Amino acid sequence: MKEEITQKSFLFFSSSWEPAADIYEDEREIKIVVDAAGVDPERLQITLEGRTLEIIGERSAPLQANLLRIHQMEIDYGHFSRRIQLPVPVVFERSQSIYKYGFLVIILPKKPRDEVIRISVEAE
Amino acid sequence: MPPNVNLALSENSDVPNELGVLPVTGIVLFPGMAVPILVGKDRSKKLIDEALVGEKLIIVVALREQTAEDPQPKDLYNVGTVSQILKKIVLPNETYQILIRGLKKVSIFSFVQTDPYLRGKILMLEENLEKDKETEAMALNIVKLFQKVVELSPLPPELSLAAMNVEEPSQLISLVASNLNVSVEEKQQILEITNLKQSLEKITILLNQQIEKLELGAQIQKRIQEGLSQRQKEFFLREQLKEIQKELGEGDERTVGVAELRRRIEEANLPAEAKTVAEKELDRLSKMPPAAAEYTVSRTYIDWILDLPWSILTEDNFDLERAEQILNEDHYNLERVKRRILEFLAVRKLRKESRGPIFCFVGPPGVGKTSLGQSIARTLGRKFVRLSLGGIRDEAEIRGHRRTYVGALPGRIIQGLKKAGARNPVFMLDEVDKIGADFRGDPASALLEVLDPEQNHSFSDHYLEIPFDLSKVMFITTANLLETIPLPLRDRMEVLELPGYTEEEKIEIARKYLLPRQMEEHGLKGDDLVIEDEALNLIITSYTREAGVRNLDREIAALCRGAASQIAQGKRENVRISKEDLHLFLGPEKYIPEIKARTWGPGLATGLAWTPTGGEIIFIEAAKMTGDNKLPLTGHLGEVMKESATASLSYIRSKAQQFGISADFFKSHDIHLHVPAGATPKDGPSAGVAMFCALLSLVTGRSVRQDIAMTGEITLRGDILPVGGIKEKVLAAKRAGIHTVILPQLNRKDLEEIPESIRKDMTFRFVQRMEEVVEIAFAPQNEETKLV
Repeated sequence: MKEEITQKSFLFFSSSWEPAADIYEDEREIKIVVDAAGVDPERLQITLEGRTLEIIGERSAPLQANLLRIHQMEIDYGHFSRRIQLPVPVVFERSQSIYKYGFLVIILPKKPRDEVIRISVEAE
Repeated sequence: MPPNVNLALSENSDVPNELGVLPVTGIVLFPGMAVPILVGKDRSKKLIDEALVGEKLIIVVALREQTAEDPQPKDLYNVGTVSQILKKIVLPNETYQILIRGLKKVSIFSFVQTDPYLRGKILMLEENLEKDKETEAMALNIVKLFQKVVELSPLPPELSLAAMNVEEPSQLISLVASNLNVSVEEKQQILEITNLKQSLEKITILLNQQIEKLELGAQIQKRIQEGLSQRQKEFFLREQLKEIQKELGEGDERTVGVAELRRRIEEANLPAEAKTVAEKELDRLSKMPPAAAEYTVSRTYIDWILDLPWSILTEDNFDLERAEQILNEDHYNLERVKRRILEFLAVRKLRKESRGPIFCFVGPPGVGKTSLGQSIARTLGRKFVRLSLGGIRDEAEIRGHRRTYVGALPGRIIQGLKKAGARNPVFMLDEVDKIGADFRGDPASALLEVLDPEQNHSFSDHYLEIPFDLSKVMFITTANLLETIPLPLRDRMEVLELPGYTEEEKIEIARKYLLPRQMEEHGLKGDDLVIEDEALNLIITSYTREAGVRNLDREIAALCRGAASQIAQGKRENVRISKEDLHLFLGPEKYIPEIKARTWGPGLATGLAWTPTGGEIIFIEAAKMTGDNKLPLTGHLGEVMKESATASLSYIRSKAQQFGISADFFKSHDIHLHVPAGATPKDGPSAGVAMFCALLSLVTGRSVRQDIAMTGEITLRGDILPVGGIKEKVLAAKRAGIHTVILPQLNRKDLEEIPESIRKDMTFRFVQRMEEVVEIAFAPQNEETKLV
């Protein structure tokens, strides 16, 4: 049997991986849960640009020393980046993030409606 | 933002200068691209396992030949890609599925190991990735082209988005090159190019080629689809039509047509043979698509079979009294013909099956041959069909064309029967003496079958190819001349001659038939137009010269027009035309009696001739001059007439002494005989007597009586033989104002044809011998009469 590619037409440019994420919404907040096990929380970067939230980090492979053989290797390692479109406007300044049991939880308070800026037009 | 691949590599910057080599088929891995690969061979699995516990790096190189089973260094390209193994899963069949990512182009400069797997020494390829405005523009262009390719080909649309998001031109090259549908060889070429600009150029070229191919393919596809959908549309519409018709209980167009024809075949009461043929043809038709060229041909053929009156007979009316009445209503006199027709009806009445004769009416134009046929049809209560054979030259006109010819039709006989709608019409074949014949065949011979009662019960038309029974048809032919009818054809017909009319008859015909009809046609009533007898007489003698009444009819029509215009203009209430008025309506007299136009003297005699248009008088002129016994004959004379002239002269010479001619007269004289008018061809023996008289008159110097006309054939021994056309000749003499006619003794019986009214005005002198002619024609000098 020859070595061959299985899905020829899915040749996407790929240099990093994307962790899975869930997005929840309640009365006051948007909560984002990212599957980021094995990631060093110190090296996580979370930025917001417009409505797009970007999470960048890196996962390094553990237990690499003195191996005889790797039988299975399914977990994504290395640099990752995940962009998420937020469903509603949020107040990023008051956001919180918690890393616990391998999950990264980001809590983003929703922007209240009355904070909409009104500009009054004066007639000359 | 995806990080730079080179950066990723530089992070684990220590790429060993010796790595395991994984040969792959059908793919060239470009830096930055991740590809899942199935690994089945033991040696390759070993390579993967050993690489995984180390740096997780391998060299991926494409094979030159896809088929190489156990690849050796020579089967591989020299340039490959350092790749990182990202994942490894073992499938149930022990095959490894690995995900690898290309990092950097390398060149393998030597192999250090071939067993258990290939291992090579590598050198990083230094790439010139310098960017400027030009590379930017080229990259932009490539994105656009690639988007077009994605649009036209079955590649996932996400790819065009991905291409847009790539920022580094080198990455763009990787993405586009990986997804281009080109050969491994060409992809390898791109991989081996280390200059950014060059690889951009190469990609652009390949993309353009790709687009061209795809567009062409798309066009072809579109055309095929359009064609298909058009046909599909038609199909759907037809199916719908069928459904609608089924719903309405109509059946589809074609089956309706076929069913209709089948019904007509059943109802047509066809003879067995025709029915079989029609059904067979219908069977063929029902299996044919209506668009086939043969369809119409087949359909027309069936229509023809169905349209023919195979079994339709009109009932004959044998009421003899009524028949006589009708014949008299339509035609004046013609006693002999009428009598023959009544006889025919009488026989038919007694024995229905008797085969009727085929009549041939022979006579000059305008004597009513055709209308007599119509009267017969009216008498019998049969349909009337008329077919003019004049000028027909093609046998196919009679018997039809074979069905294999385009536009083939049955012959005129079958067409006529279709028109008649019954198979026992009176079928008139006009101008049977004027049938032509040429290379296309001889229609007269085709007519033989039609007119033969022994054969025509199964007349076979080339088009129909089924025999049709013509035996119930009553054929009547007409002709002006009997002589030009081919003998076998003449033999099949009973000839009934319709001689020309006398002046008295013409007056009667004008009064009873022509004038009332023309007055009606011109909208004149009762007393609007009255033509006096004398005027009518003058029209007949001085405005027409014919055996029939066609020109008389025309002149009467002219009078009616004149009268109508005068009445319409209000100039007169009614018009009465006397002899003196005629020139106002008809112009000057057109004919002057010949006899009045001539000077008279020795060497002249009046003969009588028969022509197809009736009789005429002719003058024989003879002149003598010094010479040596020659006899020039002029006047467009035929052989028989010339011989007749020579015989006359010989008779005179043989009896010279008896006629008191000096013996050496002929030695010293030439005699010229001329028969005007010189342009009209003349032939026949009947002018013998007249030529004899002219010659004798010339040599003896005694004039022939001017008021005598003569006809008769002569023999060298001085006997006089009978001739034809007596009635016409006598009438011609009367028209010319001559009241005494010398006729051969044996023609005495023919006088019966001449009406009593004419006979009592004329003197007939019957002769058997030349001596008798001399006695009558050469009156004593003192008794010579001058004509008024």
